[in-house]
Amino acid sequence: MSPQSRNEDMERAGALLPPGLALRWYDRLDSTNTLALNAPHLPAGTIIAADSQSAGRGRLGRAWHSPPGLNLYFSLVLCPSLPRQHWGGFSLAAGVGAARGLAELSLQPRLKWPNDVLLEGEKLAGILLESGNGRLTVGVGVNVNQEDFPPDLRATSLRRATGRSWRRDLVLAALAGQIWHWCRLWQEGEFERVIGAWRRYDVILGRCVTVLRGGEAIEGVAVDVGADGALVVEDCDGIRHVLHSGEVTLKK
Amino acid sequence: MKVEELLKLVEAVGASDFDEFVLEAQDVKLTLRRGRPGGSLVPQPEPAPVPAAPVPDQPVREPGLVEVTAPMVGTFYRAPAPGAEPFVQAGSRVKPGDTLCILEAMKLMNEIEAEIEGEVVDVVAENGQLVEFGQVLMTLRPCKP
Repeated sequence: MSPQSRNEDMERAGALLPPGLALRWYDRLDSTNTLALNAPHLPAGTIIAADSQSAGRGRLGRAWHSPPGLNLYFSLVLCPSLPRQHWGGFSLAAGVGAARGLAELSLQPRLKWPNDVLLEGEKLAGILLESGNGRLTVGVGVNVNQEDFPPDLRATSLRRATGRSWRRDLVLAALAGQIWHWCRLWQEGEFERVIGAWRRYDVILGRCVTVLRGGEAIEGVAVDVGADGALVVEDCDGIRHVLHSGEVTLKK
Repeated sequence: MKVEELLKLVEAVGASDFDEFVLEAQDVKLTLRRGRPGGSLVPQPEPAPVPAAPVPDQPVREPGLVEVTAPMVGTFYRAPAPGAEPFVQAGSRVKPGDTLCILEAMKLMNEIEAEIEGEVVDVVAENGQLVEFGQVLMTLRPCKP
């Protein structure tokens, strides 16, 4: 496939975005988050998107495989004025936005705390937020038309889930628009509303989970998500752990 | 180390005249400091009502050091990824905007940046440790203008 044809569906992507958002499209970047954090003079609402990433990353420096022509990799720039102790909630707000955007496309997404986006129990999209330079970037990777994944990833794509290929510009417009909307609600202090919406997509509350945090594993029942977005896990001794970070695995 | 043993230690140090107590054992690092603004680990006794003679400066604390504190609850990381070089260590020179460490909260990786020019004296927090809002992460010695 030539570079032109593989990007055909993104040629007019900027025009589909709702007001307030502006797209900067690149053929290849090391990471959209890195550019979104470090490029000078990027106003809030800028979307950095690339056809492929050479160093796409997830949590703790893990690689996010980013082949060209198939998927979406984008970062939305925010410049929050909220005190920094509330910034973690943007993570859940972004998850709600991604889920809402997918629901607009007639899909039934679910969220695994804080913001893994699942379709039929498999990972469809990953979100990693990073802050620096007074800026916050919401990095999103969505598997759109990729058909094959290593089995241990438990990943899926829109194409695998629906049996047809998707135009990436339509997916970008739906997800970026909703992520922008829900992040602005968090910025405006609508914490309850965002967490309430998050709960409606949640897949873990009431279930047995293992949370890996640093070197320790906490096992118990996920009982709640607090107003700040923290996950509350009650272990078998009845002790409640309030978790602000960690990796959640659902127990069968 | 058992919790009871730790509590006994804290009690014993609290009753002693030490200003600072550091214990490093196989599975634990414990630092107790007295009278440290915003970060005292030892419950402070009520201040004596009698005005005392001027107290000499505590010998272990260097005056003029700047504390870098956590702007949020989160997990403290010294490096961008496990196994990577730490952003800074004791002796590193930093200038405003340089990344000192990362605090993770809800899968948001927050770069904590230096606000002043100076030298890293001590990285107090441990890699992977959960830190509270306002907790001291490291101390910097500002460079003289």
